[in-house]
Amino acid sequence: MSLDSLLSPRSIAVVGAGREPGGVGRSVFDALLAAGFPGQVWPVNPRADEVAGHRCFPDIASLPGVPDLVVIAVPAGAVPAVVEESSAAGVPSAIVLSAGFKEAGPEGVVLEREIVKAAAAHGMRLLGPNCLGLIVPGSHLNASFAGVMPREGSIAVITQSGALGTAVLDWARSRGGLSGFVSLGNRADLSESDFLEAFNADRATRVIAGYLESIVDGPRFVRVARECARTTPIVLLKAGSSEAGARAVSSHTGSLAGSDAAYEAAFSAAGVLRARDTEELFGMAEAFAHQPVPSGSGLVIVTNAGGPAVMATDACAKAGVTLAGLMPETVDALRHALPAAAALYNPVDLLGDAGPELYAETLRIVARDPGVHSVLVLLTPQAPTLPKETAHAILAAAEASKITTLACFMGEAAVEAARRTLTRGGVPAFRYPERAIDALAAMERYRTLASRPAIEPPVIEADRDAVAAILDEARAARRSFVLEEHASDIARAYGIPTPRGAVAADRAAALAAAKEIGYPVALKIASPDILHKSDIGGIVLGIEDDATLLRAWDTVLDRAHRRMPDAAIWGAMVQQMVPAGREVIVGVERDPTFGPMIMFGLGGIYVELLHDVTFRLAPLDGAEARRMIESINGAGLLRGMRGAKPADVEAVADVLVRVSALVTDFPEIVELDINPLVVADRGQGAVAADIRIGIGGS
Amino acid sequence: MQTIIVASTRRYSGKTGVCVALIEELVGRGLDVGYIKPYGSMPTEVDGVSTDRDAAFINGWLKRPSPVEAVCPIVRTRAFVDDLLAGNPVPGPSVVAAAFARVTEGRDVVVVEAPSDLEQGAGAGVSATQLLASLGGRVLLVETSIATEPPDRVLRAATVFGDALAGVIHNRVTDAERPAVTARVVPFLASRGVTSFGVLPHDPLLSSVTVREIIDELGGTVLCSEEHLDELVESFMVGAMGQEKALRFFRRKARKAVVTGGDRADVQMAALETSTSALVLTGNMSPSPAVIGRACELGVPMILVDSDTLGAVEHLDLLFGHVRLHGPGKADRMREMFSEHVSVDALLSALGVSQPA
Repeated sequence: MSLDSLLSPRSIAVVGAGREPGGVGRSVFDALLAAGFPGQVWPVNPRADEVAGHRCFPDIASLPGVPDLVVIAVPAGAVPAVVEESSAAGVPSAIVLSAGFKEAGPEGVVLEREIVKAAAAHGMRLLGPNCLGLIVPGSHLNASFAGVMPREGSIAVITQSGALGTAVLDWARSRGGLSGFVSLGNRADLSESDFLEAFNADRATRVIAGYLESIVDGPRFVRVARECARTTPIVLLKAGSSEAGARAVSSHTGSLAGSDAAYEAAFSAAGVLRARDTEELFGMAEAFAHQPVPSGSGLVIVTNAGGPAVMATDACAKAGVTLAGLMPETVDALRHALPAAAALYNPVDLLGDAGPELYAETLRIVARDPGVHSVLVLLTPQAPTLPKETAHAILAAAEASKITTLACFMGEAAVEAARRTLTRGGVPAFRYPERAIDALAAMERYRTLASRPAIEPPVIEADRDAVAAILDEARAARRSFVLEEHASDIARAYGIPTPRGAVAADRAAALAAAKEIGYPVALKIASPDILHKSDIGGIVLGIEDDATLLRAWDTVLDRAHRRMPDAAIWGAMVQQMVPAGREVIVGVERDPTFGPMIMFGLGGIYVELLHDVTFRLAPLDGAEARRMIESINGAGLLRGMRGAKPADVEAVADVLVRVSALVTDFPEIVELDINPLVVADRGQGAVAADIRIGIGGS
Repeated sequence: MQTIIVASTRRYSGKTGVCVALIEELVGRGLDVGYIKPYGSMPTEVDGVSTDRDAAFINGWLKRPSPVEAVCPIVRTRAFVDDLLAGNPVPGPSVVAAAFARVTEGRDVVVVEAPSDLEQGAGAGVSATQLLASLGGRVLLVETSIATEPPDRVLRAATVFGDALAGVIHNRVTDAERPAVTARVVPFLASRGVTSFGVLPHDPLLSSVTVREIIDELGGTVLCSEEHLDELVESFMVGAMGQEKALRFFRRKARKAVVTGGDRADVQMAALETSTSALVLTGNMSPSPAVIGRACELGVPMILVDSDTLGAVEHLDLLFGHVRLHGPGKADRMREMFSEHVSVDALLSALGVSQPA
């Protein structure tokens, strides 16, 4: 869908532009004129004949033509009528700046519903309400009341917070400029996904940077962002990751902040780069805007100071950025060019008295090395240092080499101007080496993400009817959980191995079941009301004979009656003992925004104490499942350490893919836990020893 | 005229519902049925007369209601308790006898709803056994039975009521318990000479209350979605955890009320994300307008109450413990379940009701 009428309109009407300067409508009108908008701009205000020297019109109908865009800045109560009039007149897009909608309470909700309906009736698209507006420097379009017009650049900014937007605009004034700026407001119609598409299609935009507190349509966002990210890097700051932050998000926007794990998983699936704070957002955006994405890994650090170079090296290790090993020819060339005491290996230390020429010469030499794909130029203002001249030398070298070049000029008074020169000249200059390395790491991540093949979930042979029947039965019985034996049936229907077992209502049935299954067996309390069987001592493992089974029966049932007196007890489940192996956990959590997420981690203390778990959005394919397994800190334990045989990682990946298929096929499954999945040695498989499936209240 | 005393060994067993269904069955057989609740513990006023909420409801719903003041002669008000403890005269058996006489006028059958359990009312001389002694008739026990505990109370009641006991109806038995109650408890009681007339399932509709009833109970201000106050609430949950846990927790129950602090926007949003019929915001802390907006969009009433969370929970516990039949469709549902799960003919003959041909 094209947003041309919004982003490059030929004519604009500003409804609510006042006679006197000040006020939102008049500010927008003035901003449009000040930006030199080349098309028609019409003020609309029934109480004025003239606004800022322009003939004013009482309503949309009396305009000399149908505008491409209507900017609405009248009190909330008056907005629906204006939207309706515009929409009916055939106006293709509108921006509602006014506040007092959904964010303001019940009356606002009604008003917002009205404007959405009125706009949709004739296919008019709507930005806002409750937003700061829209700026497209390349079109000389400033349809905002931000009071600032950024220079033309290549960063497109999308923000859910208007107030943060004003800060971004102010920042951009002293930096490289923007290709677009949109404040999303309440997102009654147009949302982040629409603008990702629009800015991705925009030639001036090289990177999209955004601030979001929530996402309107999770699946669409992932789909759209994945498509856009192939050609345009997307860097987002997602706020509200802490518990208190999440509360603030809910309170601020009336939306769920969503779990941080879900956003991590969604951004990873979508190929979106996540910034942790505003500074990182800007740093990453500038790096993408002005420098090419490095064609390989291999960074060389060129510095006039040892300490900062060490700090940068540490940062590389932390961020996963590889330092280039310089070729002997490069080292030789450096030896000839640099003073005797200089450090010739990476980091290349030019020493404290390095001048602009020495920097330039060094950059020329390292750029010729085929193992070097990026350069970080460090400088601290020492007595002989010439920051400004060095900045120019770096700009010239970067221009000539075409290698990804970032700079870090540490300090403030002595280097501030030089930093600005660098950034404006196209080499982003950072205050601290860590920030520069983070930006570079993001670029390297983008290189892998953009070239990553799309996930193609395999077709799983499954007995879907059997699963549907079990879920229907559980729903009919108004249970929010599927009974354990039924959960095993569901797993089996999807080809997930489970131990054999049966629920026994009394001792005799238990003995019969054990005979059928064969000792050793496990005994687990069977109750629709007891979810955490081990917490109440409801599980006895490794039962070898009839006498032990009967004792275990009494123990398990007694404990259940004692600890959960109100629980309905159906007996106990007799289950084949799973041979010992490495225990891992596979889980599913349904995120309200993004849908099912698959969780993987090592079992026991690893998940409870160390939280060594990872999440991915469903659906998964085998490759993604293997990446998932590799991504946890304890992955080494599965690979086999200190003489232990490697575990059957393929079997784990297979279970992950099958669970993903199951929860994708059955959205009513809101949670699922296989804890533990017992993994045998390579080639020996994995068994879901205990499985729990939640379907939520219905 | 036949007298049926509907009693229970424990409160909240669902006597009132059984009374309603029983009366319906009797009326359906062409009998003129009266109703009396000698001792009421839910004080209210109807036309300036102090009475019991449920008693007034049932009486009002009869084709030929009895005088309001006769339906619940003793109401356990604060003043009643104070007088009783101070040794002042309080209404007792004679008042009940007089009221009973008025209620029975011209009736074929009178259903007497005994106090909550076998002990209640003893102080005024009107406990279930005392009522049996003074009014006569047959006793029907209504019990919430489970299979994991011996039915000791029922057996004890059988010895107390002796031959007057017609039998028992097992009520509000969950689906999970029903097979075991039917297969084990019923035959066991039969072996001890106690007849069971049926096992009635637990029905969430019956134990549900409307949002309006919650407001009546807690007081408070409705912040939005006033058009949804007649929605049913089947249970309530308390939200004090972080958003992610809250979501997992709230998904487990449908049509619930969520009680949380007015400042907990994250919990409120998590509740709104799941099946929630009302949000009860405690501590008189106004929620954020944006959250009210969202609740309004979804049609979920937000109720701001003065009490703290603990206080609100205590009130709600009481509210949900006591099944009300006032809600739309509830009496019909009760009657439906009754005819489906109770052997009505066996019950009526055991109660000594002679049916007109």
